Order: sequence, then structure tokens, then C-alpha cells
Amino acid sequence: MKRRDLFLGAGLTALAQLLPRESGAAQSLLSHLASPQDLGTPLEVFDGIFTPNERFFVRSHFGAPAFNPRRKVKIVGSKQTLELSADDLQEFPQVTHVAVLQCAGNGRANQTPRVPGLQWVHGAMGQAEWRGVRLSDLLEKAGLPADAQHVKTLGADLPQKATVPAFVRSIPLARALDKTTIVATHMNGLPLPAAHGGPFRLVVPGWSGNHWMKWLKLLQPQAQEAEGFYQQTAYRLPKQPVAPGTAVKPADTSPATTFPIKSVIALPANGATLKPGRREIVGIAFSGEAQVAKVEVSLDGGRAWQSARLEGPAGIGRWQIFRLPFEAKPGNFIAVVRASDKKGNEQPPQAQWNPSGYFWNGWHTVAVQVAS
Amino acid sequence: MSRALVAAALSLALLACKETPPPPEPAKPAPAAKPAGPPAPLTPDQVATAQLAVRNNCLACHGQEMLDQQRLTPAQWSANVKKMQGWGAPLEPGEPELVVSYLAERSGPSAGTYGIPEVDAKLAAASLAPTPDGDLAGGDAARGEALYKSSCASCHGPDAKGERLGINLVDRPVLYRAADFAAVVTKGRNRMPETTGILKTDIAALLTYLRSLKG
Repeated sequence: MKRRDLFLGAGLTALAQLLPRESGAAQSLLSHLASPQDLGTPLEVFDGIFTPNERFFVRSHFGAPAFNPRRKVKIVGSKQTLELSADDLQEFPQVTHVAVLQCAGNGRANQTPRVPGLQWVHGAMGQAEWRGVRLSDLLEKAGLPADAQHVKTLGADLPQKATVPAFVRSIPLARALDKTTIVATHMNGLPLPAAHGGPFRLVVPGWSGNHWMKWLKLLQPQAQEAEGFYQQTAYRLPKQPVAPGTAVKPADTSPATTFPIKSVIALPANGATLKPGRREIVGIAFSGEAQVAKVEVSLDGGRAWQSARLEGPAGIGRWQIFRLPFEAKPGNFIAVVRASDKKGNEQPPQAQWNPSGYFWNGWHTVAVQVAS
Repeated sequence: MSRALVAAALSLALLACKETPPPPEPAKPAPAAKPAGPPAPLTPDQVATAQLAVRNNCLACHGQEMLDQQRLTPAQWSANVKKMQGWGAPLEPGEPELVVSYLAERSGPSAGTYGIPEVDAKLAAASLAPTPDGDLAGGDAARGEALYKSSCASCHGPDAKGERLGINLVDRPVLYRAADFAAVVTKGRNRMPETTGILKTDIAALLTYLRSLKG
């Protein structure tokens, strides 16, 4: 074991104390699709700063490739082509970021009219501490071509057939050089699991998961955006808001990148019955645009609002826990949460509909009963 | 009558139902002249044909849940089936229309709330992890290559990266889960037929060969 790992081991103990309490119930995930794996995190897990690796949502287009801890990522630069394994990456300066990973399609099932795709409700998000190497360090060592404007990214997961488009993506150069963009080898202090892109994946805090390429095998600076379905057709939003149900041409869209302000109630669950007494509404709030400014909770279906207490460090693309203690009295009530960020973005009562159902962020509502 | 012919005939019947009816003759209004309403439910035979087409085409690449969780209009289903045909789903003539009707009937906008199944998180993670090869270890790569070319390549392609009927086999977790791999080979899966009487040494040989292929 390397000294660094020993140090991390000590850090893990502290981390474990921050992890969400386990309820004693089955450690389940929501199986949107067993094969290829697309698994959601249950809402009640969102009562902690860190989502445990085991219960972190899984998204894959074609399924994980066979786990290969010796897989190398190729970085095609102007000075040299690097081929680096996870061990090789340990030789670069190590950085960590706590960041939300959220699938662009999280909340798709809440859109009206419904749109095709995995019908995520809330579970395609999680927050972890990611450790790895700055992408800018790797690109600098490989050398940036003078005309580079984008960095093409490709993972090792092969499509089921040669006729199915590969999951090829690119990120703009400025975002690639941002100091928070990393090639991560560790997640919550542990080697990146196979389902999460192990041995390494991209981490692009504040941007949707489609940029966080898993099972990374190619990084290539180039002049143009990546070609292909997953960059030029999918993962795009209308440039202008459209009425629900409107068809939008690819030419009238731009890539879906920064996820908007959002808050979600973890507990109590919708339909829960509480005992009377001192209780709390708890959940998470985050924005890819800016730090969270305020979280408000209504206990009467959205008429009166109270500010909730925020816990945990603030950051762009980083979630904080909100809590609102209250006195539960017998009867029924509807709790609603809404948040705003420090750029003045406010979570809307209804999310802006779009043809692929990306970035749903409407007010989250739960109906609760208090027993007499 | 072959299945394809049945499907074609059924789809023609379906198409006929969707056409604008001719103006009714004054003396004898045709039954088809009533105003367009919801399409007639599929017959049991049509359902069976559609289910087989779904199994043979859609389920090769993704589980049934992908279909069950959708709540789409016939137009949305039609667009998605076309997209999948463009990506290589080898539906036979007549099948797309039937599959669209079947999926719209089962998973249309009014199909009600979809209950998302739960899975044990540990089991989900374990399903990707390698398992011991046991008595399928140490197969002969050359024999595996010969077997692959004679028995597998016609569907999975000469490079095993997936072709019209078979899916990619390169760099898949199942190659490191020998017992699971053997179960697929012997029992078949969806449109892949079972293989009776295959020797363990042959399965081991196939594994060794497929593991040697790179993405």
C-alpha cells in the first residue's frame, strides 16, 4: 500500500462519519434498466453530503466494458501522444473536488407531455468526492495544437452493433482547461468502481453527466466539436424556450451543459406518515451556475414559505443539505421546496419543457400525513 | 404461411384501418365510415407476433423495462422504432407497424404509473464483477477462433463487434463470468438459439479467443 493510500484510509474514517445513515432497509437502487445498467438512487439517500458509491446512480449507454484496471487513456497532443494508466496518473499532482454528478435526463419522467428515454424521476444524481488529475495538466504535457477549440472524448464501452453510433463527445477547450475539470481515479476515497467508469472517468463539475465520460480511453484536442449522434443530435436543448410538445430541429439547439438550480426533498417521503412532534424536512439543493443562495420550504402546498438551514460547504455544482425543523400536528399537509442561486436563478414551479426532457427542475412536492 | 408473411398481412390490415375511409355510399353506409376513433385493439395473434419481434430486435440491446417505462404516443413510438431501425434493428417488413401499435397500446400516455423495480445494490455491482473460470479456464485460442468463425461470426460479425443479428462480444464483462457465458451459449438468449451438446473445452476455447479481441 502506498503512503498516499494510508493517508486516504485515515481520511475515509472521517468521510464515513459524513455518509448518509443507513436505514436498515435493503440497500436498494431503482432498476430503470438492468441491462445495460441504468440504476437510480432512492430519494431517501439524499439526506447526506456524500452519496455512498454503492448507492450512487449508474448510467450507461451500452453497458460497462470488462473491468480492466490496466486500461490506458490516450491523449493525442501536438508535442506527443501520451498513454497513461491509473498508476501513471498517480505521478501527476492529485486534486479533489466535491461535486454533483447529474444525468441530463434526471427528472424526465416529470415532464408533460412525456418524452422518450430513460424515465428518471429524481434518482439520476449523486454527490461524491472525486480525486484525480487536472485535465489541463495532461493536455499541457501532451501539447495543445494551435487550432484546438474542443477536446474530443471517447470511452471504452463499445456499441452493441457497428451500426449504433459510438458515445463520442467533446467539451469546449475552455471547460477542459478549467481547474475543476479532472480525470478522476477515485470516488469517495475509493478506486473508481467499474460501474462508475473505472479505472478513470472525466469529472466536469456543474455540467451534466454526458460530459463526464466513463471508461475514458481517448482525449484529443481538435478544432471542431465532436461529430456524431451523441454530440450533434442528443444532449442538446432548444436555443429558445419552446411550448411543451414542440418539435425542434437540431440546428435550433445547442449542447446541454450547465445544470440549473434545483432542490429536492429526501425525507419525509411522498405519502409518508409521521408521528406528531418535532420533525424536519430534509433534502439537497444545488446549481451548476453558482452557489446556492437560499432554500425555502412551504408546509401548506406553496402559500407560506420559510427559509431552511443550509449545511455543508457551498460551491458551484456542489450540493448542500437543507433542513427545516417543524412541529408536526395531526392532519395532512403538502411540503414544497424551492431554491435560488447567487446568480439570481430561481427554481421554477414548473420546469421548462424540452424535447428530450433534460434538466427538469420544477418545485418538488411531497404529501405527508401526521398520525393523531 | 411464414411468420413474415403473417406479419405483413397483419400490418396491411392495420394500415387499412388507419387509412381515411372512402365516402360512404348513400344507400349502404360502410361500417368503416364511422368517424376515426381509437385504433382497434390488437388481436392475440398480432400481440404474439409483435412480442416476438420485440424479443428478437429490441431486447437484443436493452431489457424489456426500457419499453415498459415509456409513456409515448403512437407517433413517438413510430419515431423511436424508425430510429432503432436506422441503428440496425433488423425488423422484417410489416413488423415496425405492428410493434408500434403494440407498444403504444401497452405503454401509451394513459398507461398509468410505472412502478420502478428495486434491485439490491450489492447484487447490481456484483453482476459486473469477474467470477472464477473454474473448469472453463485455459481454453485453446486457436480452437476458439475456428469455432467462433464457423458458429458465431455469421450473427456477431467477423470481428465480434456486432452485426445485423448479433451484438458486440468484445470487451464485455460476461467474458470474465465464465458460468454466465456458458449459460448463454448453451441455453441461448432472445433470438440466439440454444447450443446442445457443446463441450466445456469448446466453451473455454471460445472464451479465450473472445478475450483476446480488443475494442
